[in-house]
Amino acid sequence: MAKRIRIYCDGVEAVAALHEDAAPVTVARLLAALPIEQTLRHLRWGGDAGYIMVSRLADSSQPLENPVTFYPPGTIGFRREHGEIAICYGQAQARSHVQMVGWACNLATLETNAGALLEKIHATRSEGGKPIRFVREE
Amino acid sequence: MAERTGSGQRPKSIELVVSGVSARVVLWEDLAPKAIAALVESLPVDAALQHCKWSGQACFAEISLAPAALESPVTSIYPGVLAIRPPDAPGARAELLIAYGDAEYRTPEGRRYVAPVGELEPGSEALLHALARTAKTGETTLRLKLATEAS
Repeated sequence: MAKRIRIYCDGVEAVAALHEDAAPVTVARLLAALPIEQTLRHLRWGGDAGYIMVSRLADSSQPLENPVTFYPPGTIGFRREHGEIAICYGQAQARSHVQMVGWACNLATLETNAGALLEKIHATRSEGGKPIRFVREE
Repeated sequence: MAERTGSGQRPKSIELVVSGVSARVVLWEDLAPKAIAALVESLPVDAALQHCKWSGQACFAEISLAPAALESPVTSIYPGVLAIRPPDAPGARAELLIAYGDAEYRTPEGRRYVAPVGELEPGSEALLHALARTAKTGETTLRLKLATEAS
């Protein structure tokens, strides 16, 4: 059975399944870092997604597992070089000011209440940052 | 960049207000005369201003301008520079972009071009900060109007 995380954002809860088989190192590091609580903000270079930066997870030497450049909606991507966790609600890609095509780990996929959470993430564009919390789902 | 026309004439300028913070913009009529004429004709402009989601450290507003050819096309938008992406079809809206840091006009498909139309006058840091804040606080308001002689 897949390991899961629960995400709380501005009054909404959702659960995501972690892709442990495809990204064992990344998933293990994320689970060890939980709980994570930050302000979610909208991406500035990569399109339709919200992100947080977790500096203690930044490690460029970590293997790039389950790589994607485009994030499908409902996907949670992780960029090892920044410790960036991004939740995609539309069309998004791992980009930066120096990279038109970057790579991220496809870390997890939303399973429950995805629509409500993605609406909150979309709203960061017009409403600004929102508190978000990631915990392990027991 | 106060004198770009080389004609001895005073450059045309407009006033930009973001979240209540005001600054003057010197227009680059030598680079984008048609876009600037259309912009000035449309003043005053009140619009919602949002942070860019593909183009980096810049904000944009959709404004009503007639379709026009792209003048002096560039992709990079330097801090303090205003640029216009003309509408590409009748009925479509133009994008007005203002950079506060590293920015490049991009879409999901890749880099695209804009016309540089002007630059904030030196000393406009408060307005740059107002632009940067939108990454944290969300949408705000933009007002463009002709600059008054006294200001």
